[in-house]
This record gives sequence, C-alpha cells and structure tokens, in this order.
Amino acid sequence: MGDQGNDPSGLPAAVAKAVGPERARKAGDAARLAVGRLDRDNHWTQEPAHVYRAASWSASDKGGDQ
Amino acid sequence: MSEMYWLEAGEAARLIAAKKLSPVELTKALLARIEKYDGGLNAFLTLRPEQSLADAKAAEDAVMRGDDLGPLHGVPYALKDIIDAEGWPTTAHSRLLADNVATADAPVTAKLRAAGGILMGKLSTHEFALGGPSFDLPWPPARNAWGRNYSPGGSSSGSGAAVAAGFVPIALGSDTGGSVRNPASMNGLLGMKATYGRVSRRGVVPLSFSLDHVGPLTRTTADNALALSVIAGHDPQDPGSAEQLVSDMGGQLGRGVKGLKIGVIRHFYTKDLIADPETTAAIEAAIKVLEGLGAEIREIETRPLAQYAACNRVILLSEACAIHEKWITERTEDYGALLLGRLLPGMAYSGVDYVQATRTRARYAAEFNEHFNSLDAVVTVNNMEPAFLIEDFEAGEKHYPRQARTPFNVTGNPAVAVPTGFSSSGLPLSMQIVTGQFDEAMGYRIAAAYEAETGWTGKHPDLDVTAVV
Repeated sequence: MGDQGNDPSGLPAAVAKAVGPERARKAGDAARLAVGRLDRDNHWTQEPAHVYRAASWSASDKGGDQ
Repeated sequence: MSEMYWLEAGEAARLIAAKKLSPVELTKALLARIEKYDGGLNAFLTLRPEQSLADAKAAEDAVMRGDDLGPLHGVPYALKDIIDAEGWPTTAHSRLLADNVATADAPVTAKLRAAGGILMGKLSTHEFALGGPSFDLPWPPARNAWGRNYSPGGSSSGSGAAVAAGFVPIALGSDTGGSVRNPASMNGLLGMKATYGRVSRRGVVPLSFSLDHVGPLTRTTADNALALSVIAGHDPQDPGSAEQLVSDMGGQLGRGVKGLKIGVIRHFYTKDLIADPETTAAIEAAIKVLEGLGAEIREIETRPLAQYAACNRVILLSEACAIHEKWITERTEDYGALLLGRLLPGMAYSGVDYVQATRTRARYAAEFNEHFNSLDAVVTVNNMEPAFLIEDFEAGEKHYPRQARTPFNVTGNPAVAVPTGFSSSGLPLSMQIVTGQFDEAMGYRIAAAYEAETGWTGKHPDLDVTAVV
C-alpha cells in the first residue's frame, strides 16, 4: 500500500481516502468492537503451534504432520 | 413419474442404475421446474440447459452400455458461484469477477463429475461469500423457497433456495462463518460443514484461507452423507487439506442413537444470545426426541458466543482484506455496499490482533475438543430466529450475528445443520449437531435417527403458494 499511515478511523489512510470518511468511521468502530472482545489471555504459552495446521488436530493415526 | 423433482439423489442414482429412470428425463424435469419458478427465486446465475442435457444423454448412454457407474451417475447438482467448473463463469456474484471464466474444474467439481453428476448451473451467493443480500449487484439476490419475500440466508443463498425449491437434490456451498448452515437453516435443509481440511478448497474463490470450508446442502441426511463421501478427500495442493482417509460418511446411518452421549450447549441460545421462543421450543423438543430415542443428554458449557465470534471475525476479515486489499483501493465502486461495509473493519485490525486471534483459536479448539473424550456429539441451536424479510436491511443486519455457527469454524469441528420444524409463520427452524474431528459419520447417524422420528425433511414448499408469502 502506498500510504502506510493510519486515518483517525484506524484504517490505512489510502483505504480511508478511497472509501470515504463515513464508511471509514463505521469500519473503525466495528473493528474496535471485535478487537475489544478478543481474548488476549497469553498465559497459555505452551501452544504446540498457533500457525494453523488441520492435520495436527486429528485424533487419528493418519493425521500426522504433512 | 410424478414430482420427479423431489427425488433424492441416492434414490435417483439407484433408479438410473436399474434403468428405471432416464437421466435425460430427470434433467428435463428439473430444467422445466427451474424455467417455471426460478424467475421468482433467482437461485441460478448461469444455466446451460443444452450442456446439461448433453451430459445427461452421455450418462444415459453409459447406463445402456453397461458401464461402471459412479454413486451419482446421472444425478443433477449445482455449484455456488465461487466454485470453478471448467468453461463456466465463476463470478462470486460480483461486478469484480463478472467476466471471469474458470479454466479448470475445482477438485470438488471434478469429483462430482467423476461420480457421474450432471452440472445444472452456477448458483447465486452473497458477494464473495460475505456481502448480501444485496440489491446493487449485477444480479438480484436469491429468495427463499418457503416464502419469496424472505431471505434464503447466506452466503450460499442460491444453494439453499435451489435445493429447497426442488431444482436440484444436491448443491455445494461454502462455510466460513456459517454460510452452508445458515441457508440450510432458513430453507429446511441438511447442510454440512465438515472438519476443516476434509474437503479441498482449491479452485474455490477464497474468503478466509484458514476458515473456509466447502460443503453440501441436501434435503435428506442420506443424500448429504452421499455428497460428502464424493467430495471429501486429501488434496495435496490445498495447504489446509488434511491427510485423512475418507470413510463411508453414511456408514452409521440406521444405527440409531441409543446409548450415545450427547452434550447440549444451552447457554448459546438462553444466555449469550436469547433465541426467539419458537426456535428455543423447537430445539428443546429435538433434544427430547433424541433422549426418547435412547441418547443420554448432558448439558455442557463452553466459551461465550461473543468470544468465538470475535476470534472468527478478526481472522476472517484480516484474511479477506489481504485478498481484497488492492481492489478495495483501486476498484472501490465495483463493490456492493454491503460487502464493502463488511470487509472494511478488517483493514483496521493490527498484525498483533490477527496473531492473538489465531492463538486464541488454537486454544479454543483444544478446549472444545476435550468434550469429545466423554461425548459422542454436541447439539446446539443454529439461527436464533427464522428467516427475515429480504428487503428489510436492518432486519438482515440484526439477523446475521444472531447465530451459533462461528464457534465451529473456529474449532474446525464438523457441524451439520438439521431441520427442527417450522415457525408459526411456516418458516424452517434448525439445530446443529457437532462431532469430534473427522467424525462426520456420527453427526449423520444422529441426524438420520432424528429425521426418521420427526419427518421434517419430507416436507416441501408449494412454490405457487410461497410465491406470495
């Protein structure tokens, strides 16, 4: 993106400019709502990998790393 | 044969193999029904009757030659218009892809063709599987077969409308935050979001790489199991594909639920959100049915819906915006207003937000799957109320967050939408049956037992009546 600075809405300035101030404001409000609800409990430090790998979730012998 | 359009896929395949049903006659009957009624439902974006009939004729010739036949030989199906079929448009119901033509089949399409299916057409969707129902796109939105003034849900809107209307017995949709299970709910259908990685997403326009699933919508459990058996399987070219053997998804149908331990997540619809009374009554009645059939019911608790929803939203919109970033700034006005409005919050999330959401996701999945050490399945609500009036924008905006589907996109577990009856206004209601990773067959087993006991799936809309509802 050409302009990496952020608009007051929280959107990148280039995006805010493209979509207009009203859409940018609404988007920023919606983003803050979801982020405010995001669980940031970082005590769970033993995660095997937070990078998503479906096969690692398998209970089956067939589900090993790909 | 009367009312050929209500024939289920498995039954049609059996009749065709036995030379008791012509694939050409079946395809003609469905095309005639589409011709008569789809002008009011808008389920299809693209139809090619000549091509479908030619494919049906080839299928008939194969039967007459005594060729080996696939499990869907001669059976019509349709695809959400984000799924590629060679030589057919894939528009994602968007001006941005209005001229896009697929150069190859998606693996799911290739599997349906190899199984003998007859592609009838490409189906309406919310724009890029996110923005809808929208009235500012090149094509109108699909409408609900149970009441034409109502939304059929989405984003697999045409898939739900087409199957409920008797246009096809099987349609594929996609599910990133519930987009197979929502139209299944609002159209009285079975809709399966299988385990993440169970079905290839290659050749499917992505919404969110790590949350997208492809799944079937059908009128019966047996057909859904049949369709999933055909489209499932490892795809080494889809990085999210799981290296799992595909068992017979319908292998446990008919075994009943006696002795099964089924958890119920009530707080999703009685505390986190409050479902409307008819929806609550329907799922409570369904739980009693399962208990009456011999299942052991246990109430369980999980994270609140809002936590799953926030996790889903941050991941989904971050990934979606990575896909749409360039177009958002360069082709802003080519987006429908709804899609643009839904996408844009993703541009405001930080990299830290996204990583925290993915960490949260792994933790939630691990926590949730602990339940399956002592349970065979979990039941909970689907939508919190029946379909909304499609032209009521505010009702639609209110409706979409009022659901309990996103938890299972976050955890990756299989979740099948199952009809639980009808509201007093005649609109379908639905629950979800959720099972352990790669245990879709258990979900179908429970759905089939419930279906046999209640008969909800045997009811169909009268399109002449519902045209004015």
